[in-house]
Amino acid sequence: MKKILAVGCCAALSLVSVLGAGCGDTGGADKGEFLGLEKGEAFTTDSEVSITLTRPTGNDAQEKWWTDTIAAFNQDFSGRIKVSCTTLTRGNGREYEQNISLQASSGTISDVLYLDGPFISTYANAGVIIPIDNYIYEGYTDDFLPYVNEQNTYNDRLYALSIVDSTVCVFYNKEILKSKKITVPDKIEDAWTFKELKEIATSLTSSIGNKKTCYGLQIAGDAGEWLSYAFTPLWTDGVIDAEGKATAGYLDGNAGVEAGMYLRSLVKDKAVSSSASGKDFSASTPLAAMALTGTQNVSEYLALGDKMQDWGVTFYPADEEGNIAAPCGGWTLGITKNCSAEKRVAASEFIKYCTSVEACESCARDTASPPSRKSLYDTMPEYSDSTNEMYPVYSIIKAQLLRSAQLRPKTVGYEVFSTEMSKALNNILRGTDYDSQSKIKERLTTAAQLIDKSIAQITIY
Amino acid sequence: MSKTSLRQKRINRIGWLFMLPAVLFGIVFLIVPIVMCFGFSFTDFYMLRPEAMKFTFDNYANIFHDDLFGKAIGNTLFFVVITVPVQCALALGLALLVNKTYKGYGIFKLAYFAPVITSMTVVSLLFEILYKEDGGVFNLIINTFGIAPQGFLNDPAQAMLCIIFMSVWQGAGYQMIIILAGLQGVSKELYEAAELDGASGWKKFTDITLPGIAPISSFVLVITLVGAFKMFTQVQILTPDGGVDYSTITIVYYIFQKGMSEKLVGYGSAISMLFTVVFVLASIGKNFALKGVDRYKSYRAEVIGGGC
Repeated sequence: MKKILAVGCCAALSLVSVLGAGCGDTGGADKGEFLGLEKGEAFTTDSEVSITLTRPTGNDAQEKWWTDTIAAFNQDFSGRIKVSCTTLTRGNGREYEQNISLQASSGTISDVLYLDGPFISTYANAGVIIPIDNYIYEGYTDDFLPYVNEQNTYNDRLYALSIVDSTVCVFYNKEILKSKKITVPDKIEDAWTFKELKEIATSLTSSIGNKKTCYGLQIAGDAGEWLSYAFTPLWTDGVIDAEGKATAGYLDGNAGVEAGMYLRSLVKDKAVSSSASGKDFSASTPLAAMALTGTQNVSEYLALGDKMQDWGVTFYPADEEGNIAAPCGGWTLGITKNCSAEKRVAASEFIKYCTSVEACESCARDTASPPSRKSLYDTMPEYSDSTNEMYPVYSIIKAQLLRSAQLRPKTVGYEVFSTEMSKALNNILRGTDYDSQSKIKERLTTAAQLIDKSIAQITIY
Repeated sequence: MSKTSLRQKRINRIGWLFMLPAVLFGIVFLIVPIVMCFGFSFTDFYMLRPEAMKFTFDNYANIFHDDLFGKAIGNTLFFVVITVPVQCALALGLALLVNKTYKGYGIFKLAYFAPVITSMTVVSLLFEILYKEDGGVFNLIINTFGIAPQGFLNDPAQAMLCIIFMSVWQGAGYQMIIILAGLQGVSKELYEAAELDGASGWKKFTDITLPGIAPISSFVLVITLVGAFKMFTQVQILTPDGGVDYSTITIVYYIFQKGMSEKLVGYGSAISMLFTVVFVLASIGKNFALKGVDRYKSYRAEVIGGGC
């Protein structure tokens, strides 16, 4: 028996060490060392460089944009660079990130990775992505929104570049609000406060027959991140410390408990349904008069055609002092450790191509997403021309992002942070016994402890 | 070497060749992962940085300070303790019902088996609609009887029971078919002899039917036990956040959460190894229980006098 156990232990440790040895570390170059191409300099090579890209599967518009852009890039760089793309399911939870982690672990991750902004800290800390500032010429990032550059930076190094961004707005059914004589703010200074939003939503909730209720507000989203993304601004004292390592005292601090009480009161006062789902812009009888939802749904809204006229958009709610901190952040392109040193210039050329003014504009237009470049808010008619059909929606998004954007927390444990925070908020919204302040505080404390413990485990590795 | 032994050797070689695919499959997908899991459980393997892996005993030490691990074990045992007997008893009841040939019995057999061929994901999505607190079918039904709407999955006290109900409904048909096969193997002559002796229906059931299906019941018990311990899909679909206050978090769900979501492979592996120990202990407990039943039967047959 002892022999078997000893052989088993040896075999296990040998397998573990073989796996560990198979994954070599390939970090990036030192800060300040420029290895890329200067502005206007053409990429030259003796033989064609193959670059692989991994990205999540998107909607039809996103798929078309990627297909067209990669085809155009391969055409423009024919004989020099060839990009091939692999798509992975995004999923309702964290399926994409889980697949990326498995690829990183097995050393099969692609050269270029399309990743959600907050994961830059996680992947950069683990060495999965490398800094790209060695390959991006000075001044290239000047046109990007400042918070976008901040999102793409970790430990003072640039790790990624963005194409488009996102935010959260309040969509409302014009007919229902008009029938209740509710006026909607059209200037950011006049945006509803969270308290006003709740009062209005409560007053709009009504029975629509067949034992169905049309709620005042819809706040449901995906299971993974939505609630933490949409409601982090309610934590006016912040949700995590400046180093991104501790949430205790923040997530469950006084502002956090107030935020939890606010969310619970939405359910208690029947302003929202705890279980009704779906942005039902196209439904003949809406299940909610308003929907707090992200710009990822703007394409669905625009696809309504004539019915789009039934729905309006207004600003993300402000705090009691009238300050708006609108959620924002988008997906970014980074270079992974698997991309060999010889291929990194080619990979950075592809990233620059996808984040060029023209590419950002076409992506923003085709996918109905806010662009990551400042200049496009002045040049795209949707954002600058008040006679443009899309202007009413896009002017709201523009005002929010240029004046009140608030990044998601920067922490190496973003996945566990967003998941555990969303779970806690979901419990507070749906749970049957969350009417007391102490219970809400207890749940937020549990979440904070789990997050902090996980971050501590990650950071010691 | 004699002709016979040469022939025997050739037969053995062919036998091994036939076994080879299964053996290879078992080694690659069962033995190697178990051995690796055992090895990883003594490391701080973080999925995003495998090259920095170090040997440590911390995982096992940390587990005993992990409240969620205790909760997950408790929930899993609760699920097993309720689901296994209820599902087996229901399967036996259904098998007895369809064991008789009456008009339309085939339809019942099909109806009871239908949930089994429906994937657990589909069943879970269906029950998600039924269990919805606001506008869910079950709440609409109980509302017509004047009962206040229930939280179901949103209520920590009801959530696991809701999952148990669904799991039993979905799984009982499979065990029913296996028990039915066992029932049809019980000799008809025994029943006829019992009837001649004036045995009651209950007496026939306890002294002929149950002993007759004992070997197959043991098999049914094992597969139900294994399935119950592995419960994951239902929680993932119905309560993707592990339920309000982690009321439905099970051990497999927790291993997945630690190993995949948080990428703490070393820690997840350590939980897996401990779970294996719990599972082995539960299996030993089951064997003891069954042996106890056998001993009692032998005792009753010898001392009190068994038979019809």
